[in-house]
Amino acid sequence: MIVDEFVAAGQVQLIFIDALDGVASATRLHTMAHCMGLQDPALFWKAHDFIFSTQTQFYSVDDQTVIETGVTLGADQAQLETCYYGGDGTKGVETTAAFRDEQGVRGRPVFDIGETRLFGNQDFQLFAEAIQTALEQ
Amino acid sequence: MKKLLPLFAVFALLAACGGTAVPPTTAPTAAEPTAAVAEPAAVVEMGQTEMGAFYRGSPSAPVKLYDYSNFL
Repeated sequence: MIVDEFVAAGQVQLIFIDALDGVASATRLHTMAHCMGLQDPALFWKAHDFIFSTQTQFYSVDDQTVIETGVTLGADQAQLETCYYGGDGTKGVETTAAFRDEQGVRGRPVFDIGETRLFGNQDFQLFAEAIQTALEQ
Repeated sequence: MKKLLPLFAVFALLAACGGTAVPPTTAPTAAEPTAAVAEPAAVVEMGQTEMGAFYRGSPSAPVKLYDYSNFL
């Protein structure tokens, strides 16, 4: 809804920051998505939306399944494997994760909207109010 | 009738095989995307920030929304 209401309207730029927590399956997924994004940013968002809509099937996922999922979603397999196993993906997610630390964010999910910080999954209305406040500042 | 007997035998054999087929073993497979996954809207700009984070929405949008999330 945020994308439809505010991002598409040109009012909000949504920036995803990897909130790594040391869980191997999650790190694999973040790395795969980042590598897909290096091929095409639209592929990152495709992976992002897909994983969040089907995440229960990924609680225990190995490297091969992660790669196969990425290819199924449209990634070039050779490029994906080179990035995933070669370290570019890991470096990418660790860089954004470091930014998270710099911002003092500990839990997840956390959302910074202008000067407002929201913790946890909140109602759309709360996001809308925070965005409106930021637009007025 | 005798000419039809081999044909019956073939049918019987096929039926027997069908009833005793061994289920194939399956390796873990990649999850298939479903229709529920919407394609990103073509009109929404997408890219990477200077630090390498992925974004959607215009970089000139007045509000930045940072989403610190984990996929699981």
